[in-house]
Amino acid sequence: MGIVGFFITLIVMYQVREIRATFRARARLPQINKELQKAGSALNTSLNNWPVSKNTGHGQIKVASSLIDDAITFIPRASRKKIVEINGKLSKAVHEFSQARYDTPDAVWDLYSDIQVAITSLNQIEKNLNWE
Amino acid sequence: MYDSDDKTITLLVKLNRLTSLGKINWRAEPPPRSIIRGTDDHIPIYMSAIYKGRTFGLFLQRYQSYDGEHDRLYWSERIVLAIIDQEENVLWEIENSSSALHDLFETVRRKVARVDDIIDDLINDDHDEF
Repeated sequence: MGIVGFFITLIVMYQVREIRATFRARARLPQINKELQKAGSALNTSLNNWPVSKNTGHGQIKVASSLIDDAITFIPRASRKKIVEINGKLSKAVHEFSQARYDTPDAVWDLYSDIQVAITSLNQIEKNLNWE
Repeated sequence: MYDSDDKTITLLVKLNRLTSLGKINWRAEPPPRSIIRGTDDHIPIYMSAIYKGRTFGLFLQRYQSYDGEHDRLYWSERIVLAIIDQEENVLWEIENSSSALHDLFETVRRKVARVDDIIDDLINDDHDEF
């Protein structure tokens, strides 16, 4: 009986943890996504004035990368793949931003596109969470 | 493979990028009658461009909705990107609230209003005064 009780306690603890994680994700993901949209829009403004606004653009990519980093902790494992891939590209760009290929906006437009895909994916994840 | 949302994002970013580079030129004009006919909608700004033989319309649309709880009408607005045919019919439209569409609208409006030229002009005036 003691062993059965122990396993039931474990299951209940696991389920409570899952429910808490879902509630936290429902609360935090929309806020993070809103900030990510702001970073994306600011990057769009910088892209229209490249390379004068290159430093500002670099800052916005850093912000976007850290926001996505944050978002990943709230996303269910099954939905993480695409977001993790995008974050890998953004992190790489943050570290390589002094390279000549970022002097023209072409490579940065690709990053902007990735940020928009991440925003759309987070929107879908938010909708799915509301049904859990 | 792209899914439907990713395809839409790709199109919006491409139009935004080409507009920013000056490869697509938009101009402000009155909206086609097919968009406003039979509605109370208000279109404060309508801009169009031709790309790859297709006419795109990008506009802000203010429309009324009904609030059943308070029994009243209220105004909302949305940004719409549409493909228009030669008879000015709307063949297809994107009217989601994605930030990519919002950013495209901002880029196009900035280009049409020549905001950057105005700012440069004002900055140069300041330099002349000093």
